[in-house]
Order: sequence, then structure tokens, then C-alpha cells
Amino acid sequence: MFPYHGYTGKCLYVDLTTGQIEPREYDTALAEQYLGGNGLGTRLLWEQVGPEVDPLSPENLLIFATGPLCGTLVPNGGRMEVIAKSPLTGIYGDANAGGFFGPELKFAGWDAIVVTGQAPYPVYLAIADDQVRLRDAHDLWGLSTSQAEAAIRRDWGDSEVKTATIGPAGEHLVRFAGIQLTPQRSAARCGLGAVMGSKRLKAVAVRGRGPVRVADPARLHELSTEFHHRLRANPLFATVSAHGTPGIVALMNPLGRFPTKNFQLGSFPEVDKIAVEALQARGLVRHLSCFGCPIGCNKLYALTDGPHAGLALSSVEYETLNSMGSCVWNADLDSILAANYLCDEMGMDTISAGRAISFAMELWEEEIINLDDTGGLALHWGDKALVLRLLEMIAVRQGFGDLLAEGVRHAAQSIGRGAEQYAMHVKGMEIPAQDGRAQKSMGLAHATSSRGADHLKAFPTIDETGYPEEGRRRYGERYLPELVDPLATKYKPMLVKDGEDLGAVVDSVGVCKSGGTFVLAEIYWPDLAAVLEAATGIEMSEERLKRIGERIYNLQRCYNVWHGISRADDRLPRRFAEEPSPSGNARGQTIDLKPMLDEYYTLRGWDSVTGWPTAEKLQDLGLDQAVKRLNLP
Amino acid sequence: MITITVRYHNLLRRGAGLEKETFTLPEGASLRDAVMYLAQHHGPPLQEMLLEPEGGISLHLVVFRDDQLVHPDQHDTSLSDGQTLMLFPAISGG
Repeated sequence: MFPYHGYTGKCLYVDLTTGQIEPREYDTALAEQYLGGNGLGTRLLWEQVGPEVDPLSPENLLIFATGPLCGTLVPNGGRMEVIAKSPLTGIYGDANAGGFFGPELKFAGWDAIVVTGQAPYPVYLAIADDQVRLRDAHDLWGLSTSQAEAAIRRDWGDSEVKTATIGPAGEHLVRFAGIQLTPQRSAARCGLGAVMGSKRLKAVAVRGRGPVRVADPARLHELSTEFHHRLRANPLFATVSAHGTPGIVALMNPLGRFPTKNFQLGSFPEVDKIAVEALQARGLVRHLSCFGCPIGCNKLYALTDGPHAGLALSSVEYETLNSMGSCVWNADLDSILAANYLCDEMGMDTISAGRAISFAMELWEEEIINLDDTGGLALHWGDKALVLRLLEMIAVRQGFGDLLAEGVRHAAQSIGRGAEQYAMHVKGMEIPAQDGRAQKSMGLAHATSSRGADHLKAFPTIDETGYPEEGRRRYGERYLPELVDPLATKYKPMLVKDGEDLGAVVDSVGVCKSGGTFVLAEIYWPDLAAVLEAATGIEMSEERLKRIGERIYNLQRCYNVWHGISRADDRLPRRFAEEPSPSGNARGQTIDLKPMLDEYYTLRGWDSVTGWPTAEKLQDLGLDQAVKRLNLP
Repeated sequence: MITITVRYHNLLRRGAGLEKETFTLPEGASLRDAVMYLAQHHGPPLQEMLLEPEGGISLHLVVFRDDQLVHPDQHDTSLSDGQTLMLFPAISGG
């Protein structure tokens, strides 16, 4: 009998090849050592998906995993993880999403779904509490993500069904295809939608009517109430709530941290046209919240005139305003919204999709590719119609879109002719909307992230703006002013390591990085330890929780080392080290990763030559098996 | 006298009720003087966004002077005629 609360205590194992569906009890030791969500997925990949497994083969796992705080009344407890080996990077892959799917899965009585195999024809997994079956999805195949969700709801006669669906991009194995979770929240990164497509799994649909039981309801209520009050009392709560992530567009621009023209620049001269003030004036309808969120950073937008009149969408984020805006030199807000909508409907990561296009535009500018390569398309900066056309082509692998659907690393290798130096990626994943020349911690974070270029693993938010309050509150006065100076390198390895470990826990318990743990920086290690203990009954100190975060992150690194990753892969594209930023506060800046990496490996207890975890560190974390598997000295 | 232009962003724009404005200060005025002037000139709610309750510059205000980030220990440096200030809440993320 599974002894802890916060969990349902049950996981669903689905073999699509045989059609077998098997409920299994949650492994108690896994809960104690890895919590759930991100940690659970990491451990299962480590145990079952080796280097010999092609990410798009039946042998890859696709794991939907909640954590013990998901579906509880803890603020922002609506997040869940999807984990698989990534077809974009070939290493550890995960994606995280909010919305309502994760809590619904818990209400149905399941902590996680572990999918393996490949169905003989398109199917979807239907979960109504403990009634679980695979259903024919021939009629859904080819539908967009929202069309598929609507069709399932019609079929069930229940508008409250929550879904995780892929669109045509996942079906066509686009290497950066994502998964859309009700209500159009994206588990976007790492191409996990292509893994789902390779398994011919169009959707997972879930309806649950059960409770999530917690160990100490009174204590959990007390802590949740306290967290709510602290979030609402934060001086920046109002602005984060009013504007969401688009609120930082205008601020990142003078910092020189707003990638423009495929990272040639760090500022966009026409930023006012795509900043939050313009966005909300153009089409804000109302504010939206994910499950249990007091912030409500999500917004519904609608266009009532212009060439895209009738368009309505939510989840318009900072990243997409960058990837479909400044990074392709596009100041037309309506077309950015249309591109966002298209990606959501087709089921594609807006970051990687936009970077694929800006990469191609720079190759065109440099005359590395021509009309023969593009099938007759001229790829000029700022051609908003072209952006939409290319997205459509990528999603179904049509013409030149087939090459871009491989992601920039694979595409550059296919093109040759020096294209690689314009492919802005780390370990195969396209770099999101930060520039390490303007914020040194973020450059280090991009390089060390376990899923390839990523801001959200370490998520060093407190030095973005150079303002000390959050840094002082979290780390203490002794690290100021360098810790909060975006251009300083001092203390940044510490910031990145702490963020990676904290982020691993946040992604494993089921709360939100924009909901107080990183953005607003209110909820930290002691808070999470206390609330986890109240929810689960697992005795949890701050130190124990830190070790769990460290264990998860080290195992992700071990997984990548197992797949051939070393220090040589923890690097940024040449541009960041050799081309001084021409923009804003970062003007004249490059980034030298070496000293920060040296310090980072030391802090991690990793070998500074190979970048591998040491045997001593792994044994200390109880990862003896990894020492043996990796043949560490 | 020196002429300074200020651009408000995010909720500060709502607080000020305008996107930008130009004002004059005595020669040698500092950034702190500029923020104090704006707080006094506009009153609440902008005043509460610019200043701490005790009267100092808000710990959650980010200031750029001609595209350069101004660190808190530079609040007392002098402004020059024709400079532009950009004011933001110290939000982060993304």
C-alpha cells in the first residue's frame, strides 16, 4: 500500500503495440527520492531508455507525470511534466505545461501515464476515472489540436474533458512538435509531440471526479493561505498579473537581451509596436488563470479587424513575441498573433519554429542558400506572409519546410557551406529569447541546461534587471551587488546551480516557475519543504529537498553523459563569444563561459575536464548505479 | 536648467496617465532628483510606484539612462541636458 498522500498512488502503464493497459502502484522509493513529475520521468528514462533507442522508435517512453502538489490548493498547483528522449536533441527531454490537464489526471486517480510501443493505427487514450481504454483516432488524425479536443468533447458529450493533443506537426514528426494541453497550454519544447506522433497517439483525454488527499489538511491550508497572501503582497504582483510574460518585452530591449535578427542584435528598434501596451490595446479580451493560480498571467486576445479578423487565442508569451517578431525582424503584431495561433493549432514549439525561420533568413542574407534550396522562396527579413507560409510548410514537412522541421542543427548539417555558425542552438535545441552577452547567468544557463538551450532549467530571474531586492531576500547582502548585475559573472555559477536544483524540484512537485518560485521569487526551499511535508506526509527538511533537487539534476546529467555529452557540449554558438553585442546595456559585451563553467563544475562536484559527475558526488547522492553504468573512475 | 525626457512603461504608464513627458531640472540635478520631482509632480498612484513608503527610490523600479541600466549606487550621479530616462517595474521572467 502506497504510504503517502498528495499522490493517488497509482500510475498507468500503456503499451500501444499490444494495447495492454496496466495500473501499477507508485514506487514508494521513487516518491521519496525523486518526488514525481520531472524526477519520476528522469528516473524512468534512466532505467528504460538507453543510447540504443531512437527517440522516434516504439522503445522510447512518453511519460505524462504530475507531482504531489498538482491538483491541491497550493497556489499554482496546476503544472505537469511530459518526459521522453528528445528527437530534437537525442538526449534527455522534457516539457512542462500549466492549465488543467494535470489536476484532472490526479482527480481521475492517476499520478502518471507511462506510454511505450507504437499503435498499429491512430488511437487516443481515454481515461474516465478508473475506466481506461484505447480508442480509434482515425477520425482525429490530421485535425488541429483544438479541433481534436473539440471532437473528443463532442464524442464524450462532456465539455469538461481535458486533453493533451498533438496537431499535424506531431503527426509529421516535426522535431520540435509540441503537445497542447487544455486550454491550449503548450508542453512545447524538445519535440515531444513528435514522440507522441511516432507512437500514433493523437491524444490523451481525461475526466476525473475523485479527490486529492493530503496528509495534513489544516497545515496545507495554512501554508497555502500564507503563500497567497505573500504573492499578493509582492510589490510586483500587480504588474505580473496585469501583463504576464509580454510585460517584459520593452524592458529586455534596452538591456540588449531581446534577440533580434537571429541574435545579430539584442534590441529591436520597433519594439513599441510589439510590446505589451500595444498588444493589450490591440486585442485584450480578458485575463485567464491556470488551475489554482492567483496571478493569472495568461490572457485571451481577439482581433476584430484587419487581415486576421476573427482570430482568438490565449497563451501569447514573451518568447513568441520575440521568435515571430524581432528575431525575424517583424513588427506586425497581427501576424505575430497569427503565427502563434498557427503553431498552437499545428502543435509546434513557437521558439524552435521561429528560430528555424530566422536561421533560414540569415542564411539567405549571407547568400548561403538561394532559390534552388528554398524551392523558389525568397527569405527576406520581416516578410510576415513568408513567416506564416513557412510555418504551414514546416508543420506538414512540405518543400523547404521539411528541412526546417529537422531543427536548426540538423538543417545546418544538411546544408553545409558554413550554415552551422548561424544555427543558434545548444545541444540541438534552439536558444530562447535571452542573450548571454546581456545577462551572463543566462548564457551559462543555456549552456548547462540538461535539455539543451533553455532558460527555464536554471531560470536566473533575479539578475535580469540589476535590481537587488530579490537577490538580497533570497541569497543575502553578502553577494551584492555582483550577484544582481546582469553583466557580472561573479556568483553566477552559484545562481545557476541553485536554480537548476530548485527548478528540478518545482517541476517534480507540480507548481509553477512563473507563480512565485522564480518570477516574484517569493516561494523558496523552506516554503516548498514545508508544504511538501504537509501534502505528502514525507518528512521533509530544506536540506533533504535540496539533495533531491541535486539528485534529479545529476541523474539528468548522467543520462546525457550516457548519450555522449561532455563539457565540449556545454557551449554557446560562436556568435556570443566572438561578436560583441551592438545593443543597449550590453553594447560591446561578449561572454566568456570558461571561468563560469569551471566554477559551476566545482560547485556541482563534477570533473572540470570532462564535465561528468564524479563518482564521489554520485555516491553521495545515492546514485551508485550511475557510477557503474558510466564506468566512472 | 536641463531638459529631461522620461518614458513610462508597463503599470507606470497607467500610473502616470501618459507614455512620456519632458520636464526641466536645475543644472547638476541627479537621477534621484528627477524621480523625486516626478513623484511629487504626479502624486499617487505614480508616487507610490516610484518611491518606497519611507521616501527613497522604490526597490522595484528599474531606470535606464539613454539605454544604459542605472544601478542603485548611481542614483546620485548628475543628469545631462537632453537625456532620456526609461522607467520600468523591476519585473523578470521569460
